[in-house]
Amino acid sequence: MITILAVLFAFLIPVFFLLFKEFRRPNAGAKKTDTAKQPSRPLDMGAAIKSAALVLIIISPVFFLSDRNLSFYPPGTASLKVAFKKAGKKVVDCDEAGEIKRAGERYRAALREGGKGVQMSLKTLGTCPRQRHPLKVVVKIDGKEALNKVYSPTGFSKDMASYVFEDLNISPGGREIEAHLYESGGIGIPDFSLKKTASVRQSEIKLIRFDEFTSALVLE
Amino acid sequence: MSDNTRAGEFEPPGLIERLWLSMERQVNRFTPPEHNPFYCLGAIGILFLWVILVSGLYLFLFYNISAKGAFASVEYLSVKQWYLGGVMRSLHRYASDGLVIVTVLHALRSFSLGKYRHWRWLPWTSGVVLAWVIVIGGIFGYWMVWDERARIVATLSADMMEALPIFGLPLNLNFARAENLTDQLFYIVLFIHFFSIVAALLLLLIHLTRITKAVITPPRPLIYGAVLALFAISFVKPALSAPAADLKFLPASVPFDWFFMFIFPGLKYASARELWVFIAACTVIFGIVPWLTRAKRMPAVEVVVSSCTGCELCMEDCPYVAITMRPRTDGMSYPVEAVVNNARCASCGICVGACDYGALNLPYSTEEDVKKLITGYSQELVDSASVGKKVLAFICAKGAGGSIRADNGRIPGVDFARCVAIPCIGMLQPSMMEIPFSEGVDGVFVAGCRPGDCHFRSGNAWFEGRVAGYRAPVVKRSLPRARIKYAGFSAVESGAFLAELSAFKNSLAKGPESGNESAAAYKDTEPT
Repeated sequence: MITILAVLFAFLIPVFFLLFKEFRRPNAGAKKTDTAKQPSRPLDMGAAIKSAALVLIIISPVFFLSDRNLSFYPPGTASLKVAFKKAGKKVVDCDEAGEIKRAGERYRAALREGGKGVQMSLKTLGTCPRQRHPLKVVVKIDGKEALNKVYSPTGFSKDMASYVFEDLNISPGGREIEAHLYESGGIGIPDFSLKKTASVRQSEIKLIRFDEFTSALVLE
Repeated sequence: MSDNTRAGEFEPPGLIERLWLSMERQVNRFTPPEHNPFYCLGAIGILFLWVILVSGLYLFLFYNISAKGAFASVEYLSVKQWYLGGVMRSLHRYASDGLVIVTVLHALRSFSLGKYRHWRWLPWTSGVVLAWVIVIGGIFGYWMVWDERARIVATLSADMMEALPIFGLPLNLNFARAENLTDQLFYIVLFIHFFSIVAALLLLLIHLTRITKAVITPPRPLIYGAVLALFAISFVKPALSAPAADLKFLPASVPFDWFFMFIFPGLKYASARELWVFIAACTVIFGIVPWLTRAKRMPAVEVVVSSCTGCELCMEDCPYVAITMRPRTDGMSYPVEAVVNNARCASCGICVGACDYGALNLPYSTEEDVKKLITGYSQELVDSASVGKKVLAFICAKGAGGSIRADNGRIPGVDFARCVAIPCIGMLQPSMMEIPFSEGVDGVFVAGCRPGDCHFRSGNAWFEGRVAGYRAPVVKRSLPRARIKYAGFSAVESGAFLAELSAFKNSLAKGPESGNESAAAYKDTEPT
């Protein structure tokens, strides 16, 4: 804890140094202009109490506004969240490992034939496209479509996972929840599906996520 | 031309300024002006910042930086260690809330009194950024508790951040289920919270960089008073957590700190992007206020290099770091000479008051002009038929001068006095004060701003120091202090000014032994 404190507050060292430099200068100058010391006055307790009363009045809004309640969500509602991260299928089903292996073999063969001057072409290794399909998620509540959205893969080359997060309002009670996940941008039949009837309590949050271990959509 | 217009920015205060000054006048009835909290709101804000830092360090020692332990560690402080940890937590929260309040009041005051234009653009603009840093720091501070309030704040601020193109990933994924919540997130939040105070301190440096001798500490009674007030609130209304965050249910009615979370309710009515546009528009508008409401700027002070001795007094007294020294350019034997940065010059004339060598001049109110006026009015007074003691009054244009409409030095209904209006009382040179006495005037009445509330920051303090003898250039000790009276007035206190002026005249009539207060005050502070 002390180490963390010291590291975090190391930022303050230059701040204090600058503050010291900034406010030292006028004091040094004061020697020039202040021909004698200003008389210091003892603390006036009466003045301090009056000041306390005034400051109290000034900051009195804290009594009313520092913890005034707010209901952000309307009462009598519940929520269905769709939240998970998953990579879509590759746009081109390319055998990257095989490509690399083959390139290695070509290099070794070239080395045998051409000698030491032969260089491996890194460009050849990178030809395997890594781009992934976006994910498409469709959610139906009681048979009505509540979500139908496509989530692009992340990364500069669109080769990383897609992040899905949606917060849907839902009425409490027994609800039939249906979810479909398309890994190839919504073409064909869904890769993963879920259909469940759930009893949703007031203010409850139901969550649809993709479970990596069971490789399935789950409702919690 | 009346004196009020002659000395430049001598316009009567506008409606907003009058309202604000009237409110401050009421406060001055309750407390001495030097302890008026409205005169040092910025310094009170810095005091609150220190309280936040100290109490925050204490809280950090007990804080468990983890998703599972954060709430319990804060609860331990509030419930089991209520006598110290709980008080520290309350101080931390209420000092933060107080900081927001005084920051808003500080900005309102600066705007109402016109203290944001021209040379003050940097403190204003940096203040707008500083205010946002304070708000952001506070929001992340609430995250750390990880109660229901923290959760809704986290969710809503994640909604806001997701709307920015710099965040590619949905941050709300972290709050979808308890298992997604990582300790690393709490480290990041803690770092942002800590960094906000570092950023605030750095911005504070920028905020004050063009201000000489910035008041960063309130007067002692106010320090004690403010800390006492924070303790009082902490005991009366201890800061408590909301119930622990439960990610399986929507947060019901949550206690909201409106000082920091005022933006979030906007998400009920607008999308995060629309809210960002609104925030950005408001920030830009607030930030460029100094340029939107540009008033006429008076010409900067001019240096007469041939008269400059390089004594540096003007540089020391300039409230806005507008004067620097550079090596001599005219071959004279003095090592340095003064040079004015016109962009920073407030045309207040305080440097003129610091220079009794005639090396600085305000183009619109030259030293020669002012001295001519003093001589002319003094002679006019002495020659006038009015009986009784005669008084020459120096009035500050931003203080009483803002409400006194003098015509050629004559105040309507007052024939025993003439007044010379100057941009700031700090412009009053010791040699200027000698003229009325040498001409035969009985007393000199100096009306500046209220103590601690000089429009140009320090003019009245420097003047008082010069008369009291502890600040160069000092007023000669041979000048009869019993016949000099200094009093402070705001621009809405013409009645008080006239009453004090008459009282001073009457005290002169009773003679110097009649217990003249100003004489006693100055005598007390004279150097031994």
